[in-house]
Amino acid sequence: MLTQTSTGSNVQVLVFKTDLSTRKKVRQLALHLDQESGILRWNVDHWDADNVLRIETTRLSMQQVIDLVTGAGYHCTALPD
Amino acid sequence: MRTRDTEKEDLVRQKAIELIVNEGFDGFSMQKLAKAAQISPATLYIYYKDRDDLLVKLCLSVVDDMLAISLKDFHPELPFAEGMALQWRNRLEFFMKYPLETEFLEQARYSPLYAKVQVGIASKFGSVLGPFVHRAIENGELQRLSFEVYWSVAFAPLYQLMKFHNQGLGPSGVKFQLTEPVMKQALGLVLKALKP
Repeated sequence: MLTQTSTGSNVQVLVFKTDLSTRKKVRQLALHLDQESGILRWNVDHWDADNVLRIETTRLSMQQVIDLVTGAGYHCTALPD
Repeated sequence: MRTRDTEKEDLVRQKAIELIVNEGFDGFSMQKLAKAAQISPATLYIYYKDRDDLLVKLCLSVVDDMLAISLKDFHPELPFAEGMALQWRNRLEFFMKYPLETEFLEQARYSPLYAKVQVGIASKFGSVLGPFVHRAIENGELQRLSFEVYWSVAFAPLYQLMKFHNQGLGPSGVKFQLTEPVMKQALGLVLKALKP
């Protein structure tokens, strides 16, 4: 999903359904996401049944994020629009 | 490219308030809100980072509206009785115009979320009401009290009467309406109690 946000004209918000159901899993994923310079900010909504992963990026595509997260060993699919 | 849509944001805000008033904070989720506002959860996450982000922003936005109405025509130089009467009238106006928002703030006040917004709210109110209260104490119009005791005596009676009005019933089960004379009577007692 391509969207314009208030944070900047070329920043995209990408959202995914994941199995990041615990803080431990999120901390482990952080080791991968924090290294990726294309990600400006990211977070996981722990209150949500879909453990929504939200990413603000200037250049990563949906598929690149999915590859990154699945490569780290977690389930990750696009949240239906 | 999709851009922020204020009409959609207003709808999201309204539906979120309705959901929380009807089902409480614990039952609230982004999925439920998306369904109620008939948008996709993905769209919601464009506007808000997560559930807590949404609730904090919602709370602050309702407080801003409440503040704008409660402080209308108010300035800290007003004599204490006059300033209090204006505060009561303005708060009542907010309640009558926005009953759902009032109920939402009541619920928010007793939720874990409130700790995150309390400092901001206190400083917003405090910057105007602080000087008003201190001036009244110096002028001998108001007793020196702890803030909690002051607030409880000064405003809790009004909020309790609003609750009875909302239910349409008083504590004894008799029909109740918060009218101007009732409000004036209660305010008179409050002012009497707060005098040094």
